[in-house]
Amino acid sequence: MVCLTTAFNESDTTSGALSMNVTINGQTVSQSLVLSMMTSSEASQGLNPSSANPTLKTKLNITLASTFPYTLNRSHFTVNATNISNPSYFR
Amino acid sequence: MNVIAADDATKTLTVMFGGAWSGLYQINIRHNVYGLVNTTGQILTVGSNVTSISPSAGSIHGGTEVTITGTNFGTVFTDNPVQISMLGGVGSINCYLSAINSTTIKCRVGEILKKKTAGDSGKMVTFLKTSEEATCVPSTACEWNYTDSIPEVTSMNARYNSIDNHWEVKVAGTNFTGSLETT
Repeated sequence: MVCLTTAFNESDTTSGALSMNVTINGQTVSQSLVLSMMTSSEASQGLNPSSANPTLKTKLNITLASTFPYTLNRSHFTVNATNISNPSYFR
Repeated sequence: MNVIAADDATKTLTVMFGGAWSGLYQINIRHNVYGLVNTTGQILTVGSNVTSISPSAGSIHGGTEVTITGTNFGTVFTDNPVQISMLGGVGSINCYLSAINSTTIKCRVGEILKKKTAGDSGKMVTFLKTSEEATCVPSTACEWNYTDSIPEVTSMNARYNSIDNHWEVKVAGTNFTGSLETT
């Protein structure tokens, strides 16, 4: 089973391990999974162009930090743009 | 958004943004092993602005060529239809595009069948295909006025120039501007 989390609060995650609660269909699963967080996070460095026409297709280049630890492969990434004033609307 | 390329040498992802309502968008990136990448500050501004139109006044009969300056225009004429709107869409006058690039649109105001009166005003509306209008920044940037201070032809005379073997037409009138053209 694969699950995706939302972003963690960085100040909460560098202090140590995080235990997990797993609930499936309302039933708590007995487990002892522990999640340890990396001590640093990789950041994207740039977005070019930083503006786009609402109705036209636009290619965007996103530059990641040179220290990003994995070989870049397009099939490994999921990218979206979330409207800041209406987060339920994203592309 | 589709990730269409990834260049490991430059650590660059190329994605295709397919359009969205105008606004500010936070970019989010997830790697299938690493997880979420910190994208704080990576904001995509979606929208198109008109920052000026020149001239901002034109003939009550139409025909004025207008240059619209702004951001994120398209590249083909049908991307950004332009109209002069007077209190809504009914009776709007088309402005026919003759050139367009990402920052500039040139268009010529169409013939006005129901003659305007000097002092009539409207708004030059630059559409983003059909769903939205470009934002006027400042809000007065798109104001358009009709004027009757326009060239007037008072007489025309033609004569044949037998030396150069062509016809010459002398046009006289008032309020002529621009450069002299001989063709």
